[in-house]
Amino acid sequence: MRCEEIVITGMSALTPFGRGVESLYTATQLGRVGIQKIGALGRVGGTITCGSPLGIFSPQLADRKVMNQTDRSTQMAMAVMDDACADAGLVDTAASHRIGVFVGSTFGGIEFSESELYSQFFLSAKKVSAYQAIAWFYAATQGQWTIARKLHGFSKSYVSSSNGGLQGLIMGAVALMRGHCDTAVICASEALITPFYLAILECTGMYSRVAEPASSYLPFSGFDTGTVPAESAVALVIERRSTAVARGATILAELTGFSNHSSSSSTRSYDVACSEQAADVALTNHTIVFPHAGARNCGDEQEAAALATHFGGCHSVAVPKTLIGDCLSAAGLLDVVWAIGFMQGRCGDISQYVPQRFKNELGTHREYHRATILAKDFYNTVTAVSLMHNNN
Amino acid sequence: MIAERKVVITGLGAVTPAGTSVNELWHAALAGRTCGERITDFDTSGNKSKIGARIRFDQLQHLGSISVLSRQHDLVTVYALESAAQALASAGLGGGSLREKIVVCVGSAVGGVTTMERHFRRATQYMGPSKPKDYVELNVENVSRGLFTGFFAQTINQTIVDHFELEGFSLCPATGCTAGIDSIGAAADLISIGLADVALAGASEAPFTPIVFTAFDNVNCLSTREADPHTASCPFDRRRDGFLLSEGAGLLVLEEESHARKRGAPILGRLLGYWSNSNGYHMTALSETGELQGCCIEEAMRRSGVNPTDVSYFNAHGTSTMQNDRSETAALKRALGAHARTIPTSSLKSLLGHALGAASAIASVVVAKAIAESVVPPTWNYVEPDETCDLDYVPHHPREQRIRVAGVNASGFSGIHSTMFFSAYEN
Repeated sequence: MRCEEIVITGMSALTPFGRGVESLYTATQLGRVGIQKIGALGRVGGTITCGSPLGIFSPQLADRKVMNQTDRSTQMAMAVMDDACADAGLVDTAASHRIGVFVGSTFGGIEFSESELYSQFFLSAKKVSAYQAIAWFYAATQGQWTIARKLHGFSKSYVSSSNGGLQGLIMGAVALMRGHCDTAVICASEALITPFYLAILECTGMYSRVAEPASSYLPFSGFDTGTVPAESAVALVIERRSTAVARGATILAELTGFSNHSSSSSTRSYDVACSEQAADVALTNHTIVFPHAGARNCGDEQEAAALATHFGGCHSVAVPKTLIGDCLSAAGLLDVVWAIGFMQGRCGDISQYVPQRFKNELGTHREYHRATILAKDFYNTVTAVSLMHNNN
Repeated sequence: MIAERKVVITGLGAVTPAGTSVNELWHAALAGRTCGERITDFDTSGNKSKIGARIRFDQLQHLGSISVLSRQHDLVTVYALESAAQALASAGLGGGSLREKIVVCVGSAVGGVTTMERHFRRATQYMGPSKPKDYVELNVENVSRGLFTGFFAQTINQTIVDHFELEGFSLCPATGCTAGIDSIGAAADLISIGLADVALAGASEAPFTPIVFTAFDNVNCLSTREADPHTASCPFDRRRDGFLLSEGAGLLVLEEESHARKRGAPILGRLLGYWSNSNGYHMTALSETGELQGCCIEEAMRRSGVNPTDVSYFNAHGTSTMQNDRSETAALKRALGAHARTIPTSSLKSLLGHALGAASAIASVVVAKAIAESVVPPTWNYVEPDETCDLDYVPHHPREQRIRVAGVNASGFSGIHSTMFFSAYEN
């Protein structure tokens, strides 16, 4: 589906490398790996031994009560949404009816719930926090941030796994196209290095059992490692080009197309998503593709086949997420931030993130004007968005 | 702005405690077969509330081939699957006849929590007398892949896609208690921009687990009127003391109008438009003036091309909590002016209780039926008027009247309000 003049004017990320896109871009330039051994974390029989925890994070929320009411994933999300608004020059957002918030999530505030589940089953229902009703559920982040910023606009939350953030981006763009808002703040946040969250991920069989961080996540390698869990939060600000131009905003990139296709077959979904996101825009050899890269042989082969069919010979494939792994709903949005970084020349040499099997297709150029980001959920839904660098 | 493509309703499906088909639900709504019972499948001794409105197991057994799936999926998915089967069949799209792209947009407030809690209990073992987090061992070997698939809310949509061999845009809105309207609205938006001609949209909920029940109980929003659970949900009545937790699903088939007409589909009504906003006020509290909800209703009317005098029925959120019913009444008066007092306004929750995200999807199914049958379903259990709730709540008796335009309201934690308008179908 073709987008109508939707542009990105702000972005922020909170990753294992720190708060802000600069720390991410610096780590990307240096090839700094955030994956580490995470230990058992109180689990018995756990198979995930490597991950990318966020580390120390001080949310610095204005209202201390909100700290007690919220899961860490919400605190992370509120921080990056504040930062993305600042980046977009949206300093005063008070009482706005025209700012929408679109949040992607996989399981909501699980970390908060873990403690309350312990209380429910091993102590007493009376010991369960009154905040359980508002801390875990999927719309908690949307609610807390709209209340903190006194926003009254059209806002929504969506559940998916690795494509949750991209689905929020698409629905934010649809909201702009439908006139539901003038500005959309898109966010996804995952605080997933917790015992029960890891147990949920472990049972999917999609996560790496490799104990050595350096070799725990090797997409498109044939080693069938699976991916590793990573904590991150990402936020983008999007608006119609006319709105951005009118307020003198800096345009980082244009969202040119999207697709979100579900079927009974991953192969079919990759095929349709790759086709639809192109939105009849001719491919150039200055396009970077950021694949889902689940690092399971079967899935990687399906994705590589779709890339060959739809981008063959005129693209570069980069997987910078090998630095940290899969931050689920935030993964697609993090690839958007990386795409902007590479198109702006702020992330260093892309070749270090090109899997060996795609090296021959890299070509000699080092300037990229377009990017396509792919993400797939644990089933057969593939989400794709295409971006164009604003200088193009 | 994109040229408007008009959206019509061509199919309905519902699974609720009052009936596991649209017709059963409709007849229960008119006859006042209210739901409510003492919860027996988990321990409520530590809770103030002991009651809820459940879909009984014997009702599930009548769900045909779908009942087999109840052993494979969380109930939230089973309810959605059955509702989808009904909706597709009533739209003339059953039996795998849909071979084009379709939007599948089924939301939920809490997803597959039954599965999540069952696995949590299976995997954890208490190892000490206090400080539970320090003394609980989590044995990952005791969980199966079913934990992920059952808990993950997007499983609802993917299971529908797989079971009915569909393909297209799939989305799981999760905006708490407004998820029904929000999912139907999102699907209508996607049809409007030309992404598909057909959508299956609504919401499903199966929230009867200890932690979800306790979470609502501990913020004092559940009814404690356990002496007579059938009358515990009494929206707008002075005796109301909280909502009756409920479950179920409601799904609609939406179509672009010319597509529906071309294939000769049964057109039940139009989806005129909707709106949703955030009150930016409080995670659980509502303002007594209903200002932001009033704004939501006004904007939904504007986007639907509707004036207050056009509205002939309003299906209220009407949860049976003190604050919601008072605030919603104020919001309706704010948005509809003097006309608010003349519009029949009823709450389906007097029959079913509150099925969280599914509530407004089930209400949308009932509103479509009300428009088609020209009957306003009543508010049951309305005995003692409350002076702060002073609208025409259609107590006890269905009211036969032509319904040209009808509204559906929803509000939820996080300060979200959503309103949608439907109309009779006239060429």
